[in-house]
Amino acid sequence: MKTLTVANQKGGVGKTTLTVHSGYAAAGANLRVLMVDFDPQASLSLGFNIVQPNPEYLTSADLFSHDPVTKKPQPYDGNIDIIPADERLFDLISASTDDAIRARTALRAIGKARKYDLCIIDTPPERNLLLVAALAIADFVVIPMTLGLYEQGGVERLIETIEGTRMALNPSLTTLGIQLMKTNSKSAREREQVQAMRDQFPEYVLKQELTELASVRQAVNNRLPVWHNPRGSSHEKAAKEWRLATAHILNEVTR
Amino acid sequence: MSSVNDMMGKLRAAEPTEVDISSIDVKPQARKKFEDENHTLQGLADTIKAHGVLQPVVLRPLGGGRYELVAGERRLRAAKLAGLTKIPCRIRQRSESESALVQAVENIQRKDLEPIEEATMLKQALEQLNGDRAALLREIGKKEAWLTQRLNLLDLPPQAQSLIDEGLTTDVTTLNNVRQLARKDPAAADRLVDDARKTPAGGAQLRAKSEAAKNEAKGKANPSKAASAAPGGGTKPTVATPRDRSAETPGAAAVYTGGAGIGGAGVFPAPPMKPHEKAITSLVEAVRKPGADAVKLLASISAPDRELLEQHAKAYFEKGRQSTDLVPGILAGLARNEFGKAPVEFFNLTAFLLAQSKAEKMTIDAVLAAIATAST
Repeated sequence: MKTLTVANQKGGVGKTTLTVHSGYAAAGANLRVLMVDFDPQASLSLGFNIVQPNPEYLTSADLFSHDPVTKKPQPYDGNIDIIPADERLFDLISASTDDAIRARTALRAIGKARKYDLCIIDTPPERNLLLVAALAIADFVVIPMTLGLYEQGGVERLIETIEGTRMALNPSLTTLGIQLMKTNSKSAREREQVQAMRDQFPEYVLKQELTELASVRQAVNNRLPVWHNPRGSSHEKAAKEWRLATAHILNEVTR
Repeated sequence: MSSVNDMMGKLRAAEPTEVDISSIDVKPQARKKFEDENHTLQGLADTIKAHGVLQPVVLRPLGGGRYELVAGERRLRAAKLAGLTKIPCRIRQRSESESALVQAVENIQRKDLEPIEEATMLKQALEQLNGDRAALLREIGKKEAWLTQRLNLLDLPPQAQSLIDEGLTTDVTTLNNVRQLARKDPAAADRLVDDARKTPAGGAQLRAKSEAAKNEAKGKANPSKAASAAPGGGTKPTVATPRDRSAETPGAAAVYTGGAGIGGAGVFPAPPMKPHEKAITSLVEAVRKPGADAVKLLASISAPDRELLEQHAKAYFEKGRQSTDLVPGILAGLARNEFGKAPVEFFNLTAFLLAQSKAEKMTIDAVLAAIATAST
């Protein structure tokens, strides 16, 4: 099982939307996918329609427990299972790095036993033990980023966290790069910024940027991938962009 | 046991805080220009000679006692020029790609913004933070006055706008001076712009002129006040109408003004609230509190204000009824600051949504009941 973590220490950049779509894309490519919610705000869980986790199934806080894991991830749909967040996750925000290692061991065992191809972890928008645990478990991390005025701090702090986690807990963590989110193709200034970034650092900014389009929000609200049954040219555009972006990320992770 | 803070602390421990300049490799960087007329390399070298390198450069270990420069090429060049052999540094255990990522992000942020662009982005950021100025100031690390000056640029008088449009200046201080001047003495502001057109001068000169004109206008008796005072005498009855009415119904007036906490005092003075808006504020605040008697409060409102209140609510109820698509309707209301968290805005939104929830007729009671339910 390969593990991909989606992270940015700034909120509102579209982390969960990217996580969900990567999951749908992988399931569509016939991979067995395990989605894991490490954010106490539980947006990913909501995205898969889990408002209150079913006590029969595993939640992400269970991974940190000293008791052996006996429950299973909750099946969502065909190829997708999910380990949702529950309130106990709040208590783990300042847990120790030993707990992160325990969660990694537990998750890897589940991956092996249940033969998942890919695990995708959604993270809280701040540096705490849950973010560090998600980075300690991951093979790859992708950084969704918007082009606002104050994005730099979020990315810089995250890279610091990645460095620290790599040194202390996970030497094989690879940074895939920045996924540009919610871009505006009509803003000349933004076009210029993106071009400058690509000219100077072509490998580190993922090729397909994702435009801010209403159809993306609607798809999220309907709990469907944006490429489901696209109607109208703007929806088609969004569908195409998201297909390409997630395909690129998955290629990098699974090759 | 180790906390996240310990872990991050270890990242910093055992790092040298100073290295030999000769052990630093510099990769060719995107930035080619290291000086301009205001920031010469020699100037920085002189500062470094006098005070040392104040901000450490950022390095990445390459192994074998060698480092690669991540950030601070200008400082490094100036330090060499100043004859230093060692330079203070911070070491980052970054992979090459992560160093490049940080540089990429830094570079796009560093691109000089036109002040108006910057102001527009600040306004958007402020909206994202639900208008929380303190939070925005924390995020950008600036002072309140700086933010105010920037935001003021979005509300410029025509004279200042001409200066920008005609490419005469984009200097924030100058524009703010003209802004204040135009308020006190519009004719003087016109003259200043004309003058700038005829004799295009350097930025510093125009700034000084605008400063002088602003101070001169301040010194004079306020002409706009003086001008409005005379005709004001003749139009007294209409201007004073609301006040007269509240005097007729002292009980109601006491109720309205009693509901304190009407909006935070922002930098832009909010337009004064109309009596029925004050009534809405009091009512909404009352129903949000447990145990308050909104019915009694409603009954205490004077008949004319009550009518205005009904009209106001009906207007939003009608909008809601005619809106076939909920989302654009709500977004438009939010964009116009008609909908929001503040009492009047929340009242408007509730009246609007009430029509959407299949209510046949609008009543103030129903709106207040909905607000009360939402607040429990």
